[in-house]
Amino acid sequence: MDKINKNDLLKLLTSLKDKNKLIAPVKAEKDIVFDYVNDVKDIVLDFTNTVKPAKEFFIPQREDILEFNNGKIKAIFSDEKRVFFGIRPCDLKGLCVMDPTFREGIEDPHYLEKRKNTVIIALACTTLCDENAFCESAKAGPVADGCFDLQLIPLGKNEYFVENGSKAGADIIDKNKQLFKKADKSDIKKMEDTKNKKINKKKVDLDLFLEKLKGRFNNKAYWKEASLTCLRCGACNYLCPSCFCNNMVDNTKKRYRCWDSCMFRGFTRQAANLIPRDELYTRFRQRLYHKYKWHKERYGVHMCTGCGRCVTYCPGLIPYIDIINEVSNSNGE
Amino acid sequence: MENKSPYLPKIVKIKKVKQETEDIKTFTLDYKPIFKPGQFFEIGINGIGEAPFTAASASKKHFQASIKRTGKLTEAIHQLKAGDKLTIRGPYGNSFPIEKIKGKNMLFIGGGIGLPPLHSLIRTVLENRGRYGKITVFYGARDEAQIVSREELKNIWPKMKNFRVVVCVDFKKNKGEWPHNVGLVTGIMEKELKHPFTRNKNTIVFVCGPPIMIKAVIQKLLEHCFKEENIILTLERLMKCGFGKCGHCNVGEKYICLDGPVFSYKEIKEFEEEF
Repeated sequence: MDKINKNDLLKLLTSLKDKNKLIAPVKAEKDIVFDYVNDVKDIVLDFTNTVKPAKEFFIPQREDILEFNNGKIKAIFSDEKRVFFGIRPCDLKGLCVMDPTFREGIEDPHYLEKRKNTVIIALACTTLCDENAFCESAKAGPVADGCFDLQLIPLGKNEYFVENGSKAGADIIDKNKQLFKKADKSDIKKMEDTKNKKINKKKVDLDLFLEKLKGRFNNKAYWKEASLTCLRCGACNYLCPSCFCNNMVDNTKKRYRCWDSCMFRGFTRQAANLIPRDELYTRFRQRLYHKYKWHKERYGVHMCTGCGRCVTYCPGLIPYIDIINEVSNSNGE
Repeated sequence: MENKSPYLPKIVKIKKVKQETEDIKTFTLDYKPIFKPGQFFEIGINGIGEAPFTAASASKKHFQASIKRTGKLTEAIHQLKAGDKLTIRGPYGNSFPIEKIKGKNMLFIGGGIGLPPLHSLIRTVLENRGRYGKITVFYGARDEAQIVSREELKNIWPKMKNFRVVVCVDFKKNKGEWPHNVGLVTGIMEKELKHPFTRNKNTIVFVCGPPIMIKAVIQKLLEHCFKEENIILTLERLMKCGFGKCGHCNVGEKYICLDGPVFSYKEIKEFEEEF
């Protein structure tokens, strides 16, 4: 078992940057965001979480899929090899829960190639990032339990325990042996303590919620009231690390894929302007059922990682956590 | 890598365009895909977009789809003539339960543009006529000018053995050339479901049409004691990808494009409000 200190970590990232594009947390005015990095000195190591989730590097907000040229059509792919450093466990789990969607039946290589070509070095959390985080209840964090190539678990201020999760991860350790040190017993204990430490302030029971959602679907009055302050802005979808719904749009030269939101009225608009989910409450209900019930029933995982962003950034102040708890504690009607 | 994208459509030539009604045209393509009746394809024009259409033709025959002019894409498709090109990808989705209906009587209920999606199955059944029972078609259109598949409804199907066709129109403007009923499909159902040729509670019913009609038809079928699992629907939904990636057609734990578009009423009745 290995550990690495801050300086050596930056050296490691510098060396990985030679053959790969490096994505890492950097400063953007007041916020911390993920971006392509040229100089590892720009990387921010002491941040809690980014405002925007990491999904945009795998399913970008806008991505060209096809190119039209003189009546011919060409698919657009990027075969860029990347190292993604600093992804938090909640965002990592967000990718893991959307993977089965892109794998089922006809695979989507536009997403899966990016997953395959990206080595992920996750960064576990030791402090609370957001009052509304419930990653412990969503079994996503504060330390990831898989889905990474390497995971760094902080051992105090300057050192990280290195957990290896794949062959690509093992190769990195192998090829850069001089930068890693053996972790001793006290390091392992510290790492285990971090894994066991509870840091969330909010708690939910997603299995109970799923159970209680069964009888709540047709309670129109409840969903109408719950969605009363929803502004249909879609921020909850756009800032969600696991929302993947997307639209295809053409311009004269290209067909591109962009994020869509189930809160938008046009999301289900079909021929002759018929809109099955015309009423706001039906769209609000759809988002919760898709996340907490249907995706779980289909793929075995909740489409929620407990990052808390949808609560923190909702301009309508919709208390999603309270909704989850209220329905969970109800008689299920 | 470039040809690996499932979003990459084929470019195909239009062989024939037939004006069905004022705003419905049937496009025959120079393309003979293999598929099962009930499956759908994404048809499009580069620079404008794509939308899902159910094949009206049978597998391995020249592909046909009836398209109603109702929005930006269909408006553009309607401008196209024989020799012009369209894009197509598919087939996607499940199909009509062709095995389950062997030896059974069938009732097809179509409204407006909802008949062509059933065509593919009717044509497939007619290719192996001996394997199946009696066929009844109830078809309703807004008025006489809106009737699609005129040739089949008027001259071909009624002359076939064990095939009964009942056509109705919501409004009758003039005397017209069709000896049809006036009123909604549900109106003729009340009378025609009792007809000795059609009356059989084990008949498998296939329904396609506008949502408001589908709901009324289901109600009527249930009143007449048809079994929920024998009422087969082919559903419409906005679909961008056609294979479960874009999320638009999610209803319950199902994706209409992956698990449908063909469902029995029993499978989807829990989410009736969603349609």
